[in-house]
Amino acid sequence: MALLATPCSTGLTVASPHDRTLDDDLELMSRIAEASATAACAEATEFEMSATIRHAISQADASRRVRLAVEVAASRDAVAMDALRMAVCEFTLALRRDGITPEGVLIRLKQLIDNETLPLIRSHPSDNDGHSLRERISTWSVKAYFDSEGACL
Amino acid sequence: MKKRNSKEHDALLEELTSVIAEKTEAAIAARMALRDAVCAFVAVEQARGMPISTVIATVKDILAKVQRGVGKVTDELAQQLIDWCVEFHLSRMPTGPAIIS
Repeated sequence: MALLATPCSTGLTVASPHDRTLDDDLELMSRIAEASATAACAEATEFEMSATIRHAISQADASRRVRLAVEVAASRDAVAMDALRMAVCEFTLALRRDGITPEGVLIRLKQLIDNETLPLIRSHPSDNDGHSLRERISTWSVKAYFDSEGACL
Repeated sequence: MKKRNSKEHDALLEELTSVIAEKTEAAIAARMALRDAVCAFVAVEQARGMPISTVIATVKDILAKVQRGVGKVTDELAQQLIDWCVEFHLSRMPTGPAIIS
């Protein structure tokens, strides 16, 4: 009789201590080995399940945290963009009061932005070399220039 | 064209120039931080097996939430965020770009 137990199988009955034979002992040893293997498999399965659950929890937690980070970053971005819009508006109105033409204002703005700060955004291809930000600044400026109320709201 | 050359006026323009430069830098930094956050979000959601369409929808939801809170986020920002998501997703695909629904 082979002593190899089937991995992760179940079932163990212990024979009565009376009228044991050699075959009975071998049978008992076989069953003990089988039970031992079953227990080890159960332990391993439990460990794997536990690891899977831990991993899922960890992923869900990471997802929650990065989602929160996106929310915070989006809020800050909106506030920063609005502050820039206000600055562009004030700049435009100051030049308008000075009699500078719309084209003249845009030229001054573009020189300022190109020379001083915009290259910073060029580290990501999707930013299109800051093209969209330049466009947005120009739009803000034109709107401010032709705003009849002349207030940066 | 009337032109004032007073020192006060020059100082005002100089100050406005300084402010606009400072605000541009701040806006760029905030936009980059947002980009990095979105890319991290894409990475985490991809690791969880989320399809890119779900990730994009979630980013839109987040923006909608921010819009309610601040009221100044534009469609352009939403599009840019989605572009970031898609671009980041494609760059991580081992077999190269595929159709994204």
